[in-house]
Amino acid sequence: MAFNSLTFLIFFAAVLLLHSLPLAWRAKKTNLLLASYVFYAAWNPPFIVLLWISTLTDWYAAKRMAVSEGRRKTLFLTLSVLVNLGLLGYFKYGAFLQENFVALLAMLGVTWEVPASNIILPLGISFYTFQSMSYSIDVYRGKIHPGDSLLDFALYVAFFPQLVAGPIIRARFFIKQLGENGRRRIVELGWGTMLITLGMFQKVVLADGLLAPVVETVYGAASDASGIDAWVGTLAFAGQIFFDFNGYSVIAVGLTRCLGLRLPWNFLSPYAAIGFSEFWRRWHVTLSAWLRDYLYISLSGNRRGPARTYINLFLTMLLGGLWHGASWLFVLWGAAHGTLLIVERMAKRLFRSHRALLDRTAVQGLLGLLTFGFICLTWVLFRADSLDAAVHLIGGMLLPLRGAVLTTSAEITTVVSVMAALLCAHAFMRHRNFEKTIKRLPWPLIMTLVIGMLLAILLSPGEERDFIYFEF
Amino acid sequence: MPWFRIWVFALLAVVVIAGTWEHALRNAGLGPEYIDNRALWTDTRHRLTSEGADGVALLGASRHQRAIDVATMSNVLGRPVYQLSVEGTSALPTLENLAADPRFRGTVIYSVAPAFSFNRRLSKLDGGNQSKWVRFYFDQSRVQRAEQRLRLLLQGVLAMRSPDAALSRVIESVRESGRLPGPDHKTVYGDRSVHIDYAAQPGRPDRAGIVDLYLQNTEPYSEAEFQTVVNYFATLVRLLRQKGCDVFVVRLPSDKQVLELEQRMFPEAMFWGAMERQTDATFVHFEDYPELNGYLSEDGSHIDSDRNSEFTDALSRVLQARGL
Repeated sequence: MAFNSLTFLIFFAAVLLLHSLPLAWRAKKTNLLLASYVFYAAWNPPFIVLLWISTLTDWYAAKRMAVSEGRRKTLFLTLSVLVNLGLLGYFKYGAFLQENFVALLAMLGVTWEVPASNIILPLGISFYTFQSMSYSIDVYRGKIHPGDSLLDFALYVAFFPQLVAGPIIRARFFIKQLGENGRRRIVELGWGTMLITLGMFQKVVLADGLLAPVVETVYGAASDASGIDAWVGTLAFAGQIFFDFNGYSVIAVGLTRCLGLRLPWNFLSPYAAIGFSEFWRRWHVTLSAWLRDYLYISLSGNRRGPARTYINLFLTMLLGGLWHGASWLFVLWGAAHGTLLIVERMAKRLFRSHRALLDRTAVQGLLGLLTFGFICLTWVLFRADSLDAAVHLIGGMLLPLRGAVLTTSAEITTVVSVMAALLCAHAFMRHRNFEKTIKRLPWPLIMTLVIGMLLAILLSPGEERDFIYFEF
Repeated sequence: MPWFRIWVFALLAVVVIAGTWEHALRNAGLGPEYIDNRALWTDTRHRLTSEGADGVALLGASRHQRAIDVATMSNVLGRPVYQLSVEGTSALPTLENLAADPRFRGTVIYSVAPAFSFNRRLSKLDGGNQSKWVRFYFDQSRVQRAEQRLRLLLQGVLAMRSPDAALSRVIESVRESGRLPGPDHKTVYGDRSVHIDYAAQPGRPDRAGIVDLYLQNTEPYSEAEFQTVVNYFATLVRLLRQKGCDVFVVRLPSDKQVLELEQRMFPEAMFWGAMERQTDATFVHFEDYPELNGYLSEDGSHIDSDRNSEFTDALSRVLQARGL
């Protein structure tokens, strides 16, 4: 049940109706939990068992850790990590590992024929295992105490607005809200619905309607693409993935506001970032924070000198890349970002004494554009169907004069206009709070925007496409 | 922020503007139209399953889809007919799907278009669509099916959801002629029947254009490869026959340069003839039935959409005479 579906609209209307009945808060939370399980089971019912395994394991492990010390405590943390990463490893990376093992044997001259793997990737497994596991790690580190309510914890793991593609939330942020009497205020329903409309507009009109067809034209015929195509297709993909994923996240925030709860923003004008470390503080914020807190810091972060910091950065991004999918291209994408972060860190050390120059607006703007350009280059690795295609497209982007152009002038105009508007919007919002900015607008202007977005959604009869991050 | 006021006014405005837009589109000659995609195909496939032994499944490529007016065939045969042909593809994946489905007990009419049945380069032409759609049919959850039905329901009611009314097309038309666009050359109906306006079709919808397409994309199977395909086809037909299903294999008309090229690339004795000898099905070749000739469009490969009802009537009666 995707957010951009009519069935979800009906489902959510029913949930909202139930949630607005004068029931006890505990009954409302039970309804939300049941609704979340229905939401997940609607995709593939048996896989709900995985969600329960993850929930019960972390609930039990955290409880035991709270009354254990030393090695015993570590043992329960290990249990949580093994179960969650085990689920992720088998379902997400099983086929990939098998394929590479067979290839490795073949290189050593050993032929091993295994039947093709038909493991189905459970929806959202990368998100909910990370989220559930963060609870156990936080209890182990003493940052939170295990809660008393299994209902609250189960709802934290399975809460449907963010279950399948984030934001990845922390227990201390969400469970606290469940403990309070989250009485819904009417103003949140209006704002929440506005956010849902905005997210739908980004997904249905901008990502699917305007940009996805151009991306498919270029990436579907990557070997024939010219330099101009490579840039246009990649710019279109930079926009598509932002509007797709940010659209999803904004809808998730909106749905949650309608229910009287809150989720963190997952994107903070990422294409206005100056430098790659800032990009990762603005792009998929909750995953970046997870990787920083539970991987980078666990690897010792920047506490053991520059060389070790570089290694930690690289490893974190490499694994972050692999988190996105079982493919060497994602590993390369992660490695590229790891390298960019290291180069940025080195450059910062090198230019430490030129701070005044670097702080000039023009230089900042230039650095921002340079950051965006490099981010686009890395998106090729993320989107391309093969390494050959990626190499061809990156080559085309660096030597943009070769070849005949596949994209039409109308497509080029559309992509350039949408992306220019997006970059300007991100630059404008760079130091602004999105919610405060929108709420300061005069109401007739907001109403006009809502009308425009609703009409555009209604008049977009294009192909229904899944959210990109559903694949992860 | 006065959210209640914002939403009431916004929704009212959307209803009024969308209603006006719908009215304007219908005045411009546009009506509700379906998109011939996997959703419509899988919905048709699901409905076929529910028909039991009565259902008639049409399998093939564009030649079959454009030739048959589903309502006419259904009227003549007195049985529900379901169009499962997909443009530019081989129908083998769907035949395999029907053969393997224990719930399917109906009749299959399988159209053999040489370029899509005996072509080594098929994967290039096919793009895998028919097998992808079969896979989608398998993988669909009940909720996805419900979603699909809801979307098709809207497509069948609102002209503004028609691909002909896509904003990009509207903008282009208004910029060029100052008017709203009319229907494009292709109209798809809810039963997956298709109407093509060949005069308005872009490209070269003539015999020379079809021959060029053939020459660029066709490489006949070697005898050994062909034998493998025929063996597989015959096995699938045998499985269907074991379930009590009837199978009819039809060769729909083509003429002049197109027919000459097909006969040269795929000699009857070697391909159609071999298939007929080795398969336990009823074979109907257009050349054996004069009443099936004379309905072709200017491309020499597809039945003229304005006459597909007459052609369907004639074919249905031939099939009836052969035991359907």
